[in-house]
Amino acid sequence: MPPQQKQYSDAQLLQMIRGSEQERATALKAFFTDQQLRASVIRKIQQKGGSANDAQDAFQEGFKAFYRHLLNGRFEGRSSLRTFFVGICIRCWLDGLKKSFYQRTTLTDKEETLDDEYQHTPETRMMSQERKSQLQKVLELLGDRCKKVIMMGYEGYNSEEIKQTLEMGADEAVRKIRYRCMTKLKEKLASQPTLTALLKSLNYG
Amino acid sequence: MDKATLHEKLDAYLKGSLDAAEQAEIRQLVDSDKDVADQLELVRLEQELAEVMVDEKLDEMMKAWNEEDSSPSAKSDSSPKPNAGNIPGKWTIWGLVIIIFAGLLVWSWPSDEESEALNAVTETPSSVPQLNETETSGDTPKKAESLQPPSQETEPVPGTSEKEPEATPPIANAQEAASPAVEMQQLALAVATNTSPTGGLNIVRKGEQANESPLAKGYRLMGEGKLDEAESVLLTVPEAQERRYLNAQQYLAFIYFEKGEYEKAIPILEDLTQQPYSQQAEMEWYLALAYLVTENPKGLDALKQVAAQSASTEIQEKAQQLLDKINELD
Repeated sequence: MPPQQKQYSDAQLLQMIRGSEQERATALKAFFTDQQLRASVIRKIQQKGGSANDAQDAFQEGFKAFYRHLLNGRFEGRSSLRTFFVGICIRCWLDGLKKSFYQRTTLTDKEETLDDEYQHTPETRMMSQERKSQLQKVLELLGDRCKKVIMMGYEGYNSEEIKQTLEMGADEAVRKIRYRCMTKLKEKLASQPTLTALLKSLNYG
Repeated sequence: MDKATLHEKLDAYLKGSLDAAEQAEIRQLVDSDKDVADQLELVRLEQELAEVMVDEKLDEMMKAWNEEDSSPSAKSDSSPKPNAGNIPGKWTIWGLVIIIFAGLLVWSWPSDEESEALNAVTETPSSVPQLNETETSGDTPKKAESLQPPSQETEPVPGTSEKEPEATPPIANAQEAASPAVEMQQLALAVATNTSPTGGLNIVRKGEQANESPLAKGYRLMGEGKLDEAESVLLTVPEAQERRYLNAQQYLAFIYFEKGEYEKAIPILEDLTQQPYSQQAEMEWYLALAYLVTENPKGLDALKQVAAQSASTEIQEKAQQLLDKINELD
């Protein structure tokens, strides 16, 4: 049998998600590998007419959106973390339905909406695959150090933690590095017409 | 304000983490200064790039967890199990598997004549197309298809009360062979997932009622599918209100079961099934399922008891079906 999964309270999980990289990974793994939570998402989506496959896709997309929402402070504690997570997965599924991401789902005349229980779940923007691949091209222009600084900043690590991870000098300011990285990126993008066009296609510039 | 500081402020502005006054101040700057507006666009791009990187990181993590779940070490936990007395031990199961495999090998071993025929076949060029292995490999995270269990192993037994659409039990990489013990848990999970204790409740008065007691409100919310709200309300029913309290406890057990929080449902169901209380048959069934799903050693005995002695023939049948499937694993 699989080993029993350690159960964490919401407070513990939230604290871990704001903690070290190792703690975050542990907290996220606890959520992702929670079979009961997965079953709950599948059941809810199937109740609304989605297929098990759609629900599995929504679970994975929802998992990423869930982390983003936690990073951006969108969890207000108005429900349990599990309910919040299930709500996000349903939103991902509903958004996918609207965009016809899930071809296997049979659409009915009745448009599915979010149950009252999940009304407080924040809107979840799903990035299209096309946009993602364009942004990946932009990312190729950034050096590893810049990527790391930007990602850690987004994940809410403070300047000291970033400095320590990247072994930066005490006199270096993280905010200055981030600014320089993005300014250089802008210059690179501006210097090549194809990249400028790419930026415009992303509604920048 | 230097440009790096402004960059940082704009980041906080986009995240909405500034206070109202600062937020308004930045808004004004963006509206009045083209350079600041351009820089805001750059910060927006930075955030999107970070989002893509974080998503990629999570994709890798999910892939690793899925692989970890399907690795042999994850499936063969050699630590002693508390339910060893209730089901055949791991070594017994593996022993049986080896004996069956050896038997099949001996049985299917070609005779001299067959060997010659086989040799003849292998010497001729094969015209049978090879399986396209690339269909099942790839670097992308495992998607739904790869997480589905084989249908013949997971056909759920219908649950009690209102039947929900059949949920596929969540098994990571079930395409690879899982141990019988894992399959037993997954079978139970499939049934539990399709069993809805709070489904099909007949709610006469919908919406908030005047002078509604916590118990009535909890019951109504439960029937309306607002399980979290129902749970909060039912938890307020004081223990001093004996029968009402027991009733609230029963509903809470149903809610926990419905939400997949089986560990929470178990102690309540254990308590209530020891008392002369309503819906005994249902509660015994839910308890057996909850035990099995959480790998509680009492699971198999509880299931056998329900299959043999439940007051409800319908539940008896369901329990027997599950038991038959579990026995097939042996």
